[in-house]
Amino acid sequence: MISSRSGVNIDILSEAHRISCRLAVGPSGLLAQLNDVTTSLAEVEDAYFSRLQQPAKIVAHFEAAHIAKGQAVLVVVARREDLGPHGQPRTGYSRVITVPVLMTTPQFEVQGQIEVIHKYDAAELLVGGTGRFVMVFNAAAVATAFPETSFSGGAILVNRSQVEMIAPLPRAKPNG
Amino acid sequence: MAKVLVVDDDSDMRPLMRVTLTKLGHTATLAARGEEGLQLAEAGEFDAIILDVMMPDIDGYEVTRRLRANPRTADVPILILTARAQAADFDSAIEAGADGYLAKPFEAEVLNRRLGDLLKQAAARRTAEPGPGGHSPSGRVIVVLGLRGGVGSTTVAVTLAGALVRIGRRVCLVDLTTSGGHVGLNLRLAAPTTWANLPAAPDSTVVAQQLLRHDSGLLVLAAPQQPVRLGPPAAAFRATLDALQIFFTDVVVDAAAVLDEATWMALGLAERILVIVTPEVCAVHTAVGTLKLLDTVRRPESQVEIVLNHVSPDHNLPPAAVERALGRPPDLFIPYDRQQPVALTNGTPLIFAQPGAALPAAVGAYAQQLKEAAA
Repeated sequence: MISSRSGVNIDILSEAHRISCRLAVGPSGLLAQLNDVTTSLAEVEDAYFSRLQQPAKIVAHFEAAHIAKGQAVLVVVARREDLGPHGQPRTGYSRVITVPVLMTTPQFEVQGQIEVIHKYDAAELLVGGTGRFVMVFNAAAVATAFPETSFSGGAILVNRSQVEMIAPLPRAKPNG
Repeated sequence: MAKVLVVDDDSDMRPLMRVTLTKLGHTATLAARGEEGLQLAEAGEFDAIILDVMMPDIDGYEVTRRLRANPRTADVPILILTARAQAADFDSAIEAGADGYLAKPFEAEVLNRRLGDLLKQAAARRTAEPGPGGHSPSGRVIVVLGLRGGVGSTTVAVTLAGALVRIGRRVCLVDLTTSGGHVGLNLRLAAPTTWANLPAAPDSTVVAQQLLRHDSGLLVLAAPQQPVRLGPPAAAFRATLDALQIFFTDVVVDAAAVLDEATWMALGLAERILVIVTPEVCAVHTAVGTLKLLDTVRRPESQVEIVLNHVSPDHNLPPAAVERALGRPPDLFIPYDRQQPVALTNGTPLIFAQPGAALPAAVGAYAQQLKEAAA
């Protein structure tokens, strides 16, 4: 796999903007860094920002910028591996269940799969623990105000404080 | 082995690309900025360009647009390679004129396959096989240009297209003007579809759906009937011309009186460029400048021809004075034809209503020369 500079390329979606940037991550990985509640800001490099209504049009570029984690509604990564060790499938004896879900925030509708231990528990997902973001795998997000604007990735991190609704979706029935 | 230009501001990525491309049997030239990439592309002969989107000076979309608008680089396959890999990014790349898109990070094998596809497509375009109906895909582009405005360019374009149809050529007349669809007016064609309906990357089927048919057999790609600010984007128009050259032996372009993207593109592709001039000082002055300008945009093998068109019975300048100013005699002399205003009012161009009249006779003789040159 050929990739550019060290760090992870991410798309951060806020209420009104898309910020494509690179985040230097340590051994604990991207997810751990974003979920670290001891820091409110994430320092990013090579930040290109666009407006949500024209997400491909680059408005400005900054070599370095700080992102207020609490204002990041979604963080989109191309591959699940980009999340680091905390984003990898669990191993061991716990029974991991994959649940297709729809989550909404005031700005986005996110559809994808979450992974839970034993059973689906919305309270545990949204208010349990201290992590700021919840992982949705193989996910796609649509901007509510601009439905033609969508983002997809191997994983989307959703800011739990912004979630209005989460609902499990019916599983697709096998053909035949 | 292909010569590939890589434009990427990522200082880690560039040597990686060089190594990867070398292993794949290609040679790589590296540029760190969009502007540098444009200069290298202009100066060199590359088989393909791999282009990053996120660059500090000029983003990859703009670089793509400029490459496509430049006749020297308009045909070079462009592969966008970027970490911005959303659907909107893909659409923007294609809209700007890129041929392919690859998200970072990527596998060398995927790059090899994608690059190989683009090189094959480019080679196929160069040595294209006969298109539908057995017609050559390299139909001739003839641009009728009158930057002065009011010199009768549309009349010449309509008459020439009609004359070519009358001698058995398959002709499409493209109205590139932005001032209100005068080709449609000349031919009394309602224009429910125009080039404004073309998508960013039209294929031949889509282009064919936009054409209007005149009773004479002439097909027309019309301009919007109301004045518009801009002509079609260069990339979309390039794709349109490519498609038209498959179906038609002659594509006559009634160019805008401004050097917009599409007109510039057409001039770079034209086999013949007809510069229309009337015998008056301002028109001659504009024509002199136009001839100089054309030396920078036209293909070396294209022919620039001067058409001295008399749109009124009054001659401000004698032919000798026009010739002196232009530094060469006109290639085609069109006399004033009092029937032309009547034909315009009636909605039947003289070439169809009275082909023996002075104007269509002069243009008709020129069309015959064009036919013989093509043979």
